[in-house]
Amino acid sequence: MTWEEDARAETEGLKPYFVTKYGWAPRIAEPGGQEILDLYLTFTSKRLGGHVFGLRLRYLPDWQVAGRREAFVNPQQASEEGPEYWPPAAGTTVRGINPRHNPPVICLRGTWGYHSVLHADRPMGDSTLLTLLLELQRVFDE
Amino acid sequence: MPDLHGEIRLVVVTTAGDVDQEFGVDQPLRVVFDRALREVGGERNRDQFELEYHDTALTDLSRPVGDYAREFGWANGTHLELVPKPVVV
Repeated sequence: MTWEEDARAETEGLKPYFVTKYGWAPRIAEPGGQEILDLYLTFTSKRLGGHVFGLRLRYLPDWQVAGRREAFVNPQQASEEGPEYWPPAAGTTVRGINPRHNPPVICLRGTWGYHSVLHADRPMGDSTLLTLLLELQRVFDE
Repeated sequence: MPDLHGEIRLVVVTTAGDVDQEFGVDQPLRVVFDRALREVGGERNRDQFELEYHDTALTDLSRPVGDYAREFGWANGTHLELVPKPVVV
């Protein structure tokens, strides 16, 4: 399978039980003319009073080694990204999400920030998308 | 407690396949945990997973299944979840 087929398989294969339970509402987009596959999801955070975040996981040809590139986006307008859409950098923060890092990263297995920035010595291995999303949901809720 | 006749059918949703089978009410919850752990191949990383019911962690794996069933009102077909614990280092 190609990198893109693998990416599609995992993004389309998310378990409906968890997708429904957490309201992730996954949506796949493929910007034309580029080797990119984007997965958009929404996360509602109990920790942050029900605030809704938009997450974009970007798959590039090296994603199985480098990790899924993470960015928080405007949940209402996914083309808008920036620090204002990340969880707070101070006050009530979210464990493992580092908006102050340059670049901002998520320190959870399966992300680019984890495997290519913070812990480049730790391979992706069998880290799955579903495990990443469940861990992320957990830190958003704890 | 529901009339369970010594066994209760539990469904454990995991990140891989789901478990759907009967367990003895006198068995420790660890039996359920171990069975679910096999589905995800997590036997070597037991501490990275947790069994939950309605977002409540079931941390005492030595307690009999029947104790939990009584406390939470489980019936045949009740769903539990085996979820990964975030590894933030």
